Amino acid sequence: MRIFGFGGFQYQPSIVLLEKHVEQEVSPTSKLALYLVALWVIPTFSFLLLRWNLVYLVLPYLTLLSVSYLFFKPKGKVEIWRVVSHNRFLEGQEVEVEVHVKTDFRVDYLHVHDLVPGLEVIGSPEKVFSLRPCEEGVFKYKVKVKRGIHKFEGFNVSYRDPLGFFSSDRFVDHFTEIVGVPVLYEVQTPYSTKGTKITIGPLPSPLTGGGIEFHAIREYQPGDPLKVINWKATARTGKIMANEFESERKVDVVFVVDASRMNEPVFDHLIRATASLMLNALNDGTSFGLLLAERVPLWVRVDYGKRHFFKCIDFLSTARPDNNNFIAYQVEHLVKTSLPPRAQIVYLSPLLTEESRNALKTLARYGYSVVVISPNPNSVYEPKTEEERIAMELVQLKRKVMLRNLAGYGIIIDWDVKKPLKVAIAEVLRK
Amino acid sequence: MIGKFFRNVFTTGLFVLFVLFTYLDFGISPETMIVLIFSLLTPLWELAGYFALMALGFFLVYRSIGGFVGLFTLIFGIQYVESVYLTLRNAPPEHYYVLFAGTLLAIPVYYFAYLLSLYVPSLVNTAVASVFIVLLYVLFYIIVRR
Repeated sequence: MRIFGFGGFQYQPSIVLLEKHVEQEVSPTSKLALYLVALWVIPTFSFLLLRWNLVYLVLPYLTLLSVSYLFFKPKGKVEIWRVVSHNRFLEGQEVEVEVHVKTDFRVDYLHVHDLVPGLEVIGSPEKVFSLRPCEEGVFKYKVKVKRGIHKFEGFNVSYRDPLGFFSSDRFVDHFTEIVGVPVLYEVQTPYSTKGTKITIGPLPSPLTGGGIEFHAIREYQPGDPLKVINWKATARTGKIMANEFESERKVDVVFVVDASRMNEPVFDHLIRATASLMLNALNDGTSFGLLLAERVPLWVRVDYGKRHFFKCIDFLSTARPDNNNFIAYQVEHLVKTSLPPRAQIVYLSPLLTEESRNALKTLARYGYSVVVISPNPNSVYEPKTEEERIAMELVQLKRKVMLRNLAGYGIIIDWDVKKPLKVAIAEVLRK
Repeated sequence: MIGKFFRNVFTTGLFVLFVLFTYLDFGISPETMIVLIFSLLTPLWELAGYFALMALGFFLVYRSIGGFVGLFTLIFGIQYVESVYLTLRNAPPEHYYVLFAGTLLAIPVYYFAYLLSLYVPSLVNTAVASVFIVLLYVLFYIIVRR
């Protein structure tokens, strides 16, 4: 049976050559050590008790060891490959991994151990095979996917003789990559999509329609579509004139994600919220961009559509909290260079650092409308003692004061991560 | 393929032979009991099998029991311990054949050496033993170094 992977490409097995002329790294097993100890008891005590004539009792040990040593050397090739149904999975999803093994010679003991990259394993990622020539062996196990890129680097393969005295261990390179994408929540739009974005012609989005309204007439410029030419105005003025439109519902949304190391306890929530709001923007037909403020910031230009959405999701999947103390500088730089004017900013940060608070102030100073989704890091911890409870209340009070001080810079949604994001947004919008 | 039932019957048969030969060697004695206890533990704890073999080797030398009976006691002992190992791993029949051939090969080798000793001039026991030990050491050196 031919097995095909992503995009219809056949899986390429990794091949291990176990030829006679290839130098084998054969090592004795712990079982052989025990066997040798049992053997050496006889000569040792024969000498100690001066019964040297009984040394021949080691003969059955020696003959068995010699047979095992001389007649069971691996020769031929072993093919190993891994099958995973897709390469993108939602975080928390259980993914089945199949490992196939095929040899062109008789194998009595072949131990295959798949090296799983730090994921929770359900079942066993290893198996001992006993295969006839050209017989294919399979074992399956499951992994629970976390957000991020997970690289399966290869297998540890161990060949043993029938009695398990010697083993030949190899690492076999076989690369598979799976991406854990963030889980999406159901959310409502926490900002007004009504804006005054001036555009020429229809917007490249499936949801334009009623949102486009006539704004003004101006002179036709090369590159404008022909359908925007206002023929009456052209006849009146003698110059080619074009209609200019204003979109009332097509505000640009820019997601700014604070990827500081301090945010680690709530970072997954932060990413899930970003992805969910992004999907919301996609469904609304709103254009959106992304600034992932890691140490090296990642800026994805404002754009529309599913392809753009999946591109952003890929970046969010791989995002990690980083040593970033420059978010205010990064935001200011972006404002001065790439951020569209009058864009709606969705700032995702627990606002733990002075820098992250300064970034919010910077955005507000430049006149942007900002909605802050701030996962509350205190809501992650459950106080166990009375002292911890009091300490937690103090910390919570401090946070409330800090959020109150920042309230003038934008709408701040203080999100208790134990509650759904939708509820947190609704609570703020109701006020 | 042989079924699990036949494997277990096989292993039990070897255990009976092993116990029988141990009884022939030592009769009903503490030596027999020690070897028997370790042997019975082998299916649950594989290490116990090697303790049984170590104890057997020591008692055979201590009681000066060699010859055909001593050799066969060891052969059945090794066969029993290793067949438990194979049975627990559902090994194919060929592995059992290897085990039997490998251990029973000791009998012709022993009688060949015995016949040879009738025709070659007798050597001092110490010299033979020394050569034997050196050969044993060299063999293990090669195996372990591989």
